[in-house]
Amino acid sequence: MSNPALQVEGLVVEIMRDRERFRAVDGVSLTVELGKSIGLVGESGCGKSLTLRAIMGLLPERAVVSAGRVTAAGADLPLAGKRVAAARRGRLGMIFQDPGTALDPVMTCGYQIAEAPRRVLGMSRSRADARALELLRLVGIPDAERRMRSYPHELSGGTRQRVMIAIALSSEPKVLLCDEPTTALDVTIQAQILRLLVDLQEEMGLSIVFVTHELALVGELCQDVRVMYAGRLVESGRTADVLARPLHPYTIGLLRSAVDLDVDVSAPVPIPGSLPDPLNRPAGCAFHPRCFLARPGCETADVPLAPAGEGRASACLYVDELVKEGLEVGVP
Amino acid sequence: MSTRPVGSTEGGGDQAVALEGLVVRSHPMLRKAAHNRSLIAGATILGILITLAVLAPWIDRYPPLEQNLTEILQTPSWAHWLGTDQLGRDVWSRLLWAGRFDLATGFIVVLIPITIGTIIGTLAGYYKGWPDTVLSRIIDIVMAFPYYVLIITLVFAVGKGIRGIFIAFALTDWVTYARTVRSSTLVIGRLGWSAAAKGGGLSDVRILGRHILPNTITQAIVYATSDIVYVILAVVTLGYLGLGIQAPQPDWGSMIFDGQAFMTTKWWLSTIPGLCVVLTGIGLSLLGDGLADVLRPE
Amino acid sequence: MYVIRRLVQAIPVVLGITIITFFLLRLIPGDPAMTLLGNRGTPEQIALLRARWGLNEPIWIQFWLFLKQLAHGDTGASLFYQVPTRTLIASRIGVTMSLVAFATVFSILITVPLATIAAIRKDRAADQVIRAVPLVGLGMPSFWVGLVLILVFAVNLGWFPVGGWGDTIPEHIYGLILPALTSALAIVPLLIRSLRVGMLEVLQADYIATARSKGLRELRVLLVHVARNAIIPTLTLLGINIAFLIGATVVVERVFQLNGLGSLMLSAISNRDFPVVQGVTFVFALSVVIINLVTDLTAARLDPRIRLS
Repeated sequence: MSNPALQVEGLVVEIMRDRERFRAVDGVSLTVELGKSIGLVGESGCGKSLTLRAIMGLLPERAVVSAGRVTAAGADLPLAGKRVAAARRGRLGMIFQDPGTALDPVMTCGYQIAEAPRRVLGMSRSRADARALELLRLVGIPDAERRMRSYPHELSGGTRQRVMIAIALSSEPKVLLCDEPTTALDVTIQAQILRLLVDLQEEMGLSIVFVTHELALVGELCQDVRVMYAGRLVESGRTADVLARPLHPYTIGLLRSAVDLDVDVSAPVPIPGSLPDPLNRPAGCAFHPRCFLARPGCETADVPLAPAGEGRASACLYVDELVKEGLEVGVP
Repeated sequence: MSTRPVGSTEGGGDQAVALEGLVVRSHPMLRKAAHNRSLIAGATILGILITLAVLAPWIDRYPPLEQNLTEILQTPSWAHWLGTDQLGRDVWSRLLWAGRFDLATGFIVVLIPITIGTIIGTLAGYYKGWPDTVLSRIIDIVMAFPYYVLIITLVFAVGKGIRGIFIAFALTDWVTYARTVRSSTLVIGRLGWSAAAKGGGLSDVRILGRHILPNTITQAIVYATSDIVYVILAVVTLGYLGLGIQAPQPDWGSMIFDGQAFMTTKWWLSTIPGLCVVLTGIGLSLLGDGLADVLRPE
Repeated sequence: MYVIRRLVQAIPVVLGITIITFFLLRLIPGDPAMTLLGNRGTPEQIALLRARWGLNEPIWIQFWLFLKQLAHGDTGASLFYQVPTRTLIASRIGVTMSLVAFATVFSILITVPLATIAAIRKDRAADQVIRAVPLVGLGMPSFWVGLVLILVFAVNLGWFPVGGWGDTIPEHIYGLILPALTSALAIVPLLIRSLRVGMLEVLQADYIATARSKGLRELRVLLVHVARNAIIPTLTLLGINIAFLIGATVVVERVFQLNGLGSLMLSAISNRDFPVVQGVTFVFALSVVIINLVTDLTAARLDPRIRLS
């Protein structure tokens, strides 16, 4: 299909730490079609948030994009420099993990939502305010008129997150990048926000990139999923397929370590160990020290993401074994 | 559907551990100190100044009080490295001795407010209740007086000179320490840490001494490095106004005052003592910044 | 409302100031009567003067009289000059308050651009240079800075008068520039340090990322979002420092020979002129309380979170 809503090719982000340079994001590629969503899943620290920020041009100080290409609806987006913000207007929007810190504390919600329509889209004050009101209703906030004049600290976590979504939508982007938007919320609110995102996708044709450390969350929202480990993609495919028949030991580990109160009888099994220090990557496959399938061959060389059946890819040398054994660890 | 991966690397909650570590880990701190550029620079500058001051009796070239009315207001020369003042006294020697007095006064005077302030602040933050409210009001009142107004009035009330300086600062300077220590103590209290210790049956004094003080006092120490600058500045200002270290003792402030009359021709008489003060300030500020970095709980 | 609460809190402070000032001065050794008459006064004359000034009464009666007078807005008469303290203060308050006002304006004009540049160009050359300002500036004695400024700008360059207030308004302004600059430089180091750190913190905040992700122009992000948030803690610091400035006028007025409240204070102290010292200290302390009130209220205006606590 031509002109996907968002296309990322070979993104590499390098970070300076203690005088050394390392790759926090190492060759990540993904494609998002119009009106479809993609999930990016991985443990905390694997580089998924940085990926989003790099796409958005919001990298923190010590991080720099050293390679890669980002296009939105066919247009190349600059990854650094002065034109970064301007190029993304009307194309990309982003919401962050903690609505408590992502909203300007000294301005009313109404002002913050109306700001982009006024300053970026050039609407008049009254039209912008009307639009803000519309957006508040769209994201499901009751008593919207009053909320226009509320300050962020007066709102609950879930409401703040909805306000943030409204703010992100206010510049009318085609793609919404979501950086763990539900992590800081409690479980019932999580479900509501997910529901909201699904609705927005369906009703507005919004494309969403959903970053999270909980693999199961993407089932509802995203058609495709990418699994990330230590800066690289280790598995990709359609969500339903990946969840039903994961083709990488890490994905399996993630699924096993999740607690599903509705379904599971057995106790969750955490993945032993933790993410490697980026300055000290293990030789060969980065996951092998923690992998239940590890063989001597895993240490020798980097394992690239390779096709593994229709629409699927995996970065495991022993993918065939996994296909054969047909491990069923999935989530209904 | 409600799932949560267990065993992921989410979550902090290491605050308690970090605080405990602060008390225990003194050696890594020394190592950190050795690498901190600010700390080293500041310590070096101060070291040089203090050494010069200490060695004053040996490296001055003339007695600082000795007047020589035939050689007044000379420009710097080989005989008099920084020239002579209006009474023929050697400026270099006076500079050294003035530094001796001013620096010593500054460092010693500040000890009293630190002690008083830390004690009061700790008690207020620990016991809270009405002593805390009263203390806060007192602090407000003392802080409502402009700094110099209070100092000058007190020095006048008690008498010029060193004694006046000591008492003036003892009465006014403790306030900021009390405030800083009080809020640190309150923060630690809120962390529930002291409640746990208390529950373990430790006496108040023990808790204060071993658990609370070592953490709150680091803030006080860092502030002290700036405070010594303020104290020295005040001492020098009092000297300028004639209220501080009394003549004939040399003092940077009074040297600046003396030199004022000759500003158009012998400008260095006033400028150089001031530069010494500035240098002291730089050394102490660098030291303070370095200490703040090193002592900061991770 | 927040305003009322702050005003109420201010009252005990003002009272406390009054009380302390009163008792403080009674501690000063030395007898105003003797100071005035000097060696020439006979014991009877001194005793007469003391009686006239009510100095023989027990201290509580003196305090009570003092409070009564204060309630009537009467701060007593100067022992030395024989005119009501109010008159003395009124004639000089203009100088001092203008000085403080100018100094405040200068300090804001110097601090804001420098701190902003340092924050935006963090760790680059401009930042390093600007960071040296607090380092070096903190240890500079005010009076010395004043002298140096006089040396360079008045003596050598002749741009400004060496001292004094002048007679016409332009002369006033001219005469205040160097003293105001001196005072400003006393507090600029602290302000730059605070504002720079504040801006850096804000620049890192998520809500700035949100603002940028909306596609707003960077200038707008800076001026509207960063500035408003970063300025609040430094505003409080500014208030405290203006209070310091008011006290520092004592020194600065001496250096520049300005006839303000500061120099009045100094001479009143050496003359043991209780009522004047009391009056001036009271005015100083009251100004401090007012300024702190104003800064707190402004901060509350800017930051809605403060209003609720």
